[in-house]
Amino acid sequence: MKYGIKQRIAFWPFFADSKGSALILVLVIVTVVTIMCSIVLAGITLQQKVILKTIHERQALYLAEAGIQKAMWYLSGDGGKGLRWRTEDETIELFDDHLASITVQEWGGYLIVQSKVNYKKISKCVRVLLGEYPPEPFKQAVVIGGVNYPLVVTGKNRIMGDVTVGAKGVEKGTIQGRGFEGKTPVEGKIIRTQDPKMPYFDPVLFSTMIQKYRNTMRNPSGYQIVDSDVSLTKELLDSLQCKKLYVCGNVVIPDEDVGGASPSAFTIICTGDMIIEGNALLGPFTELAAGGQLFVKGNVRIKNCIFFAEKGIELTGNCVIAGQFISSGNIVLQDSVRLDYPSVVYCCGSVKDNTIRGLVSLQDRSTVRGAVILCPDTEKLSDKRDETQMKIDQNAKLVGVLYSTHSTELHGTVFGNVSTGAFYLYVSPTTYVNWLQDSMIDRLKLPKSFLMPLHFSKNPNLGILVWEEVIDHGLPQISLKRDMNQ
Amino acid sequence: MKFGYVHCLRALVSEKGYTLVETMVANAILLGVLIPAVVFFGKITINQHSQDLIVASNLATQEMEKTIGFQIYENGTHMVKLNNKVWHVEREVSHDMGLLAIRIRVFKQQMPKPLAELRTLRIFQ
Repeated sequence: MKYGIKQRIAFWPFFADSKGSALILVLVIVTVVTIMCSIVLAGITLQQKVILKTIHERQALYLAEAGIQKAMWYLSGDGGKGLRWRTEDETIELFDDHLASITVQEWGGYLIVQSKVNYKKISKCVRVLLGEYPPEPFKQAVVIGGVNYPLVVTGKNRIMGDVTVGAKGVEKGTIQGRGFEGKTPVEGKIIRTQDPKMPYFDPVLFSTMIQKYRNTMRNPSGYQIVDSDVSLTKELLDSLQCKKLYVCGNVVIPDEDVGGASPSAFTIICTGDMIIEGNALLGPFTELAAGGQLFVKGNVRIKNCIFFAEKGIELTGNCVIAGQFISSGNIVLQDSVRLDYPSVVYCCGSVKDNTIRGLVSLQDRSTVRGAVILCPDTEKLSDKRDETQMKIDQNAKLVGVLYSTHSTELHGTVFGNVSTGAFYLYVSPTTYVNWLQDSMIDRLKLPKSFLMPLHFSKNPNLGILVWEEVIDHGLPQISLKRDMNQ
Repeated sequence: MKFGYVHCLRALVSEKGYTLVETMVANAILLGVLIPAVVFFGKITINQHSQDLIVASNLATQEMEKTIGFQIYENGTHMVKLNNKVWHVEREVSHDMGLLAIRIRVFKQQMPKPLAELRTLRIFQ
């Protein structure tokens, strides 16, 4: 037994030893407990900080949205400002002491509004694309604003919605022995007016964009300049320091992902022609402008970009684009081209040989969801021949608004509003003014959420087309708030 | 001092080990202490106040989105019962020169100070 105790003492010398081991033990235990408590407390504090940060981030986002709403309020004509209000990083007061930094700038026929806020050391930035809800005239199916002739319908023509027309109203007609085959010429009200007028439209936003591109072509300050034709590659774009490229020559955007993975938008301006082909994929909010013509072919996929070409635009193949096409030359859509909401096709026409020219033509099975506008400068027209026209072929379709201050040749389908100077129909060998044959206009099929470009009314009812939170790194989180394609 | 080192060295070089039973008993005791400790620390880590903050924040966001989405532009209060707790969600809508100032506050039971508060503006259409 004695031996056994000795052996244990030999085995556990520290426990058997009375030389202060208890103090060491207590210190070790206290240290361990303290460390554990500290970890737990730090965890709790960190967790609360994270939760509070999440709450503050939400509040900051709502404040940034409040900034957007206040800017929209100003743009609607309140607060001493109006639709022509443009600003950059202007500080506005929201409520109490909260402030937002607002930027308003043109984006084709729409406006981009950006709101930045700082709330409890958290900064948030929201950017929206603004359009306007259709004003009263555009709630009708047809508005004839250029002639006082009667609107004559024939064949299988259908109009669903109200119609504003000259004093002579709407009639049924017969062409080459074929009469009107429907039940009623207009499935809606017919509003007769003694003095037909086109609905209000001020093309100031488009004029500003066109002028901007023309000025840049003359004076490309701030642009990286290339003095030869360019085939655009991702490497070239990545090498651009200012994201702005000016090419003295032609530009080809080849069959590859050029800017899709690129987080920020870029601007490319060329003096010659521009060709976008194959499966090219461009990043959103990119601007492409050509001094010559623009050709888009193949399966191009692009969203929220602006395309300007001085001498005309031609889209072919199966491209799917949500963008704005602006030109003073002809704009032609062929094959199965699809322009998704909120697309805009705008032709301002050009004067040559004492004739004003401008054509917007939707051919084959092409589809546009948005607005198609043909609006040459009327001041240039007074003493010149007019060869401008809007044309929609039999299988082509427009979901949105068609606005043509001149004649419209309509054989296809419009789900929305047609506001035109007059309709034009040619059946060999005769030309018919203000006749419609075998076309379809259905205002009821245009979704209520549809927003059109701005300046179709003096006090617009503004709405948000695209909403995005801009992250500091420049990578936007884009969400289409009102997706007409669904 | 020398005596102690020698005995320690003897203990380390000793070939006497622990039996399987001893090891299992030691492990069982260790687990018996560790498992409740882990559960306890886990519980106190997600502490009550943090949980309340999360709930209040979610209720406030939910109410704000409902107010904006359904355009419920009027004052109102409603109660929400969650995990045996009563929450008061207060919606305050005031006109601010043609704009609507929306404030959502979430109170826990009878606490005078809101746990979460969100504010924004909307155009009155």
